[in-house]
Amino acid sequence: MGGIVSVKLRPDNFQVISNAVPNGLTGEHVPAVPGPRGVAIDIANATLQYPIGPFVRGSLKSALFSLFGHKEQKTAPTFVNAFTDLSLSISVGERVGIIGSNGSGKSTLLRAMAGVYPLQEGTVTVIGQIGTLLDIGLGFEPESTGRENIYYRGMAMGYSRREIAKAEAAIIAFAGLGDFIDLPMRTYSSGMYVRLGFAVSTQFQPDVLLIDEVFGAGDAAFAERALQRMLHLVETAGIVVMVSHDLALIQRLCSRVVWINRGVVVRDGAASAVIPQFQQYMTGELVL
Amino acid sequence: MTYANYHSRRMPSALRYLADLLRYRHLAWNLVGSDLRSRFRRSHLGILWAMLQPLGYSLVIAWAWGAIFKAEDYWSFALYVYSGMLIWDYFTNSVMASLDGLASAVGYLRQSRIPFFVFQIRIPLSGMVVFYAAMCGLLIMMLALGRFPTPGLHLLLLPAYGAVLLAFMLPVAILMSVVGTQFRDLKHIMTIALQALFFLSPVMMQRDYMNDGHLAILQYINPLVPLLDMLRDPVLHGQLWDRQDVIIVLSWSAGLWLLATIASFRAGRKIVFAL
Repeated sequence: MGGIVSVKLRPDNFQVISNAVPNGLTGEHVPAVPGPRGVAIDIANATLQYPIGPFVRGSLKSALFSLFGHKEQKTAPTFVNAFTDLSLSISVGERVGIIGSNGSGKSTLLRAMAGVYPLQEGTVTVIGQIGTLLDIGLGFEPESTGRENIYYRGMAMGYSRREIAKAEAAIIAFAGLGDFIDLPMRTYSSGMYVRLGFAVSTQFQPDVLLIDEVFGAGDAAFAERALQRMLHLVETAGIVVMVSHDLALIQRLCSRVVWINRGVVVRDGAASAVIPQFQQYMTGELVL
Repeated sequence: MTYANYHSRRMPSALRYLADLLRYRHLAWNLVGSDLRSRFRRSHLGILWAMLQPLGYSLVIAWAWGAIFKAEDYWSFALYVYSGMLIWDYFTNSVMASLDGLASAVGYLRQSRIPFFVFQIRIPLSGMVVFYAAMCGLLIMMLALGRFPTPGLHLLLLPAYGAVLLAFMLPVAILMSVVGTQFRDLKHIMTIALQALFFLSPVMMQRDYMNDGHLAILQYINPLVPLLDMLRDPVLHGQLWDRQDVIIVLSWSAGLWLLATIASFRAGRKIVFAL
């Protein structure tokens, strides 16, 4: 059972992506360049090892002791394999949910797609402007107001103050935070963090939107608005990749589900086919 | 083991890096502003502290150490110490802040693929604003004492000095951020090293002691000596930079850039795992 499921894509799938790729420098739209396999996200034979503990083994103490011939006993492994020889292709217009048990490598894979984590082997090619919502707290300054943080986050996405100013009113309206927008973010609830983060990350219509386990923190009304925006993003030449343990949310939002176990893709297909198998696995009815 | 994001077009990696730097220039400027705001936040005197702090130090040190060094004129020695504190504060603050330069940017670096340089340059740049604010304090102090620098071409070197200082400090900041993230003991080592360096630099010690004798070697092995000379020559002594000082500072800067480049290439983006 298991093994890597390779998804073959027709070359004409790529035609949609070439319509508009925002240029981060000028805001102009320039045609995208096809990737090696003509898809918008292409991960080929990727291996990522995550270091455990100190990045550089040893400390000043052990360095000094080693001068006197003392050798550090290496009982614990230095790295864990987040994923090994993983290949995955995602085409434009797909809403992909990544599921798996804790520690399966889902979030690490998402960060590799965002270019945050470097690979040991293989390639990750992403065509298009990336928008990320990987952690609700990251990238926000708690002491600054929500309005100021719109600018911080927008600039972290590579936009200028002028471009963000144009989008500011729409972001505030979508987030729906009312007077809270001018209060420091340390006064916000986790749901409010998500609202603002999602509003900024999606306002500039990224080609590729990567979301990690943060979406569920918003209330029902916001979740519906967010769903509509994500559907709109996908319609306007985008890809959405979402990591979540909320299978109902994944089932509702995603057209395709990739199940990862110990860094290996074990199932890849329609949400209606993959999610029941994952649930069977979690209850012990299915063994990989 | 490659990553490519064709947000605009395919291009060689070096050009892509420059394009990314250009793309995130707004963030870099914003971070500099944010650093300055947070430094003087909720302070009644704000950036005036950039002038008052070295002023306070220099007045006290000149009183105590002026007697030890048998300085002929209290105010001349106070101006000498003030100018020394300008560079010393800039150097030590930049070094110590750079040790956490990347760690403090974890929120950004775990969210997006932003060039590290954006977070490495913010510290020397925000320090530079404080440096020039403090420099205004020095000029005001000189004016108040009736010892304003003599007019001449040498005064044109003051704006250029900022560029020289930045060219020297930037690779130091890069090295500190890269090595400091991987080797956490560096913070403690640097605390000791900076204390030692203070007593080996002509911040309050009179520069004449380093002209000859066994301390003369410090002119070459301690880059702060020529850097301090290059500030004091036009401001306090009304003269152009000494050629030897310029050569030594440029040599140090070139060497540091080489080291910073090697360290950055060797570490790559793996540093993100250590944040």
